[in-house]
Amino acid sequence: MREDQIRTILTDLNGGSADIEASALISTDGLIISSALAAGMDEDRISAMVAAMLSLGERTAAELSRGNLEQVMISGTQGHVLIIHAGNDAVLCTIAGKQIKLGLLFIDASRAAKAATAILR
Amino acid sequence: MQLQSNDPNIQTFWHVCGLDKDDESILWTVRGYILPLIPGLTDAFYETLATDPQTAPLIEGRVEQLKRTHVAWLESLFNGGYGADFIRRQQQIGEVHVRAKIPPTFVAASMSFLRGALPDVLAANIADKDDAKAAMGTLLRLFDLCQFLIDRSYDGTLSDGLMGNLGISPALLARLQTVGKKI
Repeated sequence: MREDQIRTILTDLNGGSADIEASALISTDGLIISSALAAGMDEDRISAMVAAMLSLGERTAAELSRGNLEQVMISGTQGHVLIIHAGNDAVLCTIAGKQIKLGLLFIDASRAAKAATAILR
Repeated sequence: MQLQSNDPNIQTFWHVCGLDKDDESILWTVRGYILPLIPGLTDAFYETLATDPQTAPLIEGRVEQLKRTHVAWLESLFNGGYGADFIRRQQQIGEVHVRAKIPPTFVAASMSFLRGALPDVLAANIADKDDAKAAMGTLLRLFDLCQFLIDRSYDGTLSDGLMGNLGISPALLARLQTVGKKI
């Protein structure tokens, strides 16, 4: 039931913009909770890397006195990866193309993370 | 030898490698033969280290001090008492090596050197062949136990540093280590 609800959240997030290519909800220990990833993406490796990135972002923010971490953004020539908390125990990873409006990406991902948090609570 | 550890991994190692009360009495029996030979073994070991381009810089300028530590460690293996204090001392060796930035290769090579030197040393100095054979089995098991404990300490200290600096949990570290070769 919860799995279906989370899956729907991810599908809706992906469907909200043509530039959002994939998304996944991951535990802070690096385990996949649910994913809507493109074929060929290794969800086990991605989940471990994403959880590690979030932890590293938190530690860096704290070390540099930047307060609580809000997001980790990775930008490459082909697009962006946005990593944000979904509650204390989960991480939402959103993978988007280069053309996406970043404001839209932040809003959509935050909304999805909030919805997932409510389900995981 | 009496195991005094609640750590299931140490318990398994102890059980499988077969250390028992006989080993402690064997060590006590042969210590009189072995103790006088330890400084020579240590000298030979450090002579070898001095000829290797990776290990020579690690010992340069402090060979005598390191030899004393090595001799003391080797002698301690024959002093009895293989319980919690013994286990803790071996683990501390690993911690000290990490702090001194001495790589695990150093310990592995050191143990291998000792294992390689043992048969000749024991055969030449223990007249009774059965005693020499028993002593060799016991010492090989003991060196393996020491290396296991020291290596674990290396791993633990390095993992703690990694987890502390990256802010990752033991579970996530385990995932990162095992999830795939590309990570």
